[in-house]
Amino acid sequence: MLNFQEFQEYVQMKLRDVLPEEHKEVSIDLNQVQKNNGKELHAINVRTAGSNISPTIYIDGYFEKYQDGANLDSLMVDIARVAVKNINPPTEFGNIAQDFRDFNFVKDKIIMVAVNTARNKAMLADTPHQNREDLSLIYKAMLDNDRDGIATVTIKNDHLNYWGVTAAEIHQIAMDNSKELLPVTIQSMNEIMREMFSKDGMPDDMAEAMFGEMPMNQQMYVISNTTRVNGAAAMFYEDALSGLAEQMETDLFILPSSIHECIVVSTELGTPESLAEMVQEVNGTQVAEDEFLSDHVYRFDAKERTISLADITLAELESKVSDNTATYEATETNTEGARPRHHR
Amino acid sequence: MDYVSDKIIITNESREDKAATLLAYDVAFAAMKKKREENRKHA
Repeated sequence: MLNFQEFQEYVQMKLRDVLPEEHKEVSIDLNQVQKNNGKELHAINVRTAGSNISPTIYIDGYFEKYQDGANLDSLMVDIARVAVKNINPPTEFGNIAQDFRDFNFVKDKIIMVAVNTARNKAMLADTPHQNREDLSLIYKAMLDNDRDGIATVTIKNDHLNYWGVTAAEIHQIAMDNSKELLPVTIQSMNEIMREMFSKDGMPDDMAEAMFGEMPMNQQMYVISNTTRVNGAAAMFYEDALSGLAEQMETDLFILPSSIHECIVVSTELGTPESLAEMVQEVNGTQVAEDEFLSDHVYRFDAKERTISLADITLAELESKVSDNTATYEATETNTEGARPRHHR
Repeated sequence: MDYVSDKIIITNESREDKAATLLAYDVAFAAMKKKREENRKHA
């Protein structure tokens, strides 16, 4: 049985053998890619001669299948099939390295994304960002947007230096663009549930009876953007929350359900502590590691138009995080380093 | 599919089906409201 390091080297060495004749002249490299919340994935990049762009094929999942007993030769055929299918990138990405040097190409595509600060420390070190309580706002260029999702490039400090643009300017551009490119959506949970259950075949009258109208301050509202991807940042468009608070005539609690959306309720609906417990419970059971946003609840002050942590102070949270980091680092020094974290 | 070109990493971002997360919140809120009502009745 190969360990993960050996598996990666095997894939790199043997992939060419299973590629069709017309793709034998490719270069095959191993890479590591940092995803959101510090999740690290391992990839091979397959590049044709004369091309400067290559698909990134993540092999962690294939290794899991191998560990579960899948045949290595069949896995190699699967990886080769994915490589061949994607070896020619969409035409709009073909010249991206050149295009990305031109700020005029990028500036109308910049959007804002909210991530957890503590879990993205390494990424934030070379990424322009603004902190908001325990979250950070980072910036991405959105190259494509279709029903399968969005294609983005994260903007790094090096890009800013190259363009001669400041982080503050990028923030303002992102705020302006995001409202245009990814407008805020606010839907009541009842509306979403009604749609969901109707789609699954529930008769309309039954759906209406179960998820009918109720007073605004008794309802949950889901705030996101039109793509439903990276929509949690929409909470920082204060006009969206102000409108809701005005209609409810109360301040709001914001529950960070994932990086893709937040849930907003009237402050009359629960205590920040009980709501934070709920967030932690759902995070622990339903939310994927790389989609996690925060375990804490925020309060939107309708009068001041500010967002602040509600169940904990930032100082308390920071001391908690540094305690946890110390424990985590002490544990990490005793573990094997060659395999991805989820295999240990 | 993600792509890389001269240190520029293009990431395709989609999301898992939101139904499970939102349903979990819907159920948790219903339980919280019920508990509050019961507490109010007993008070």
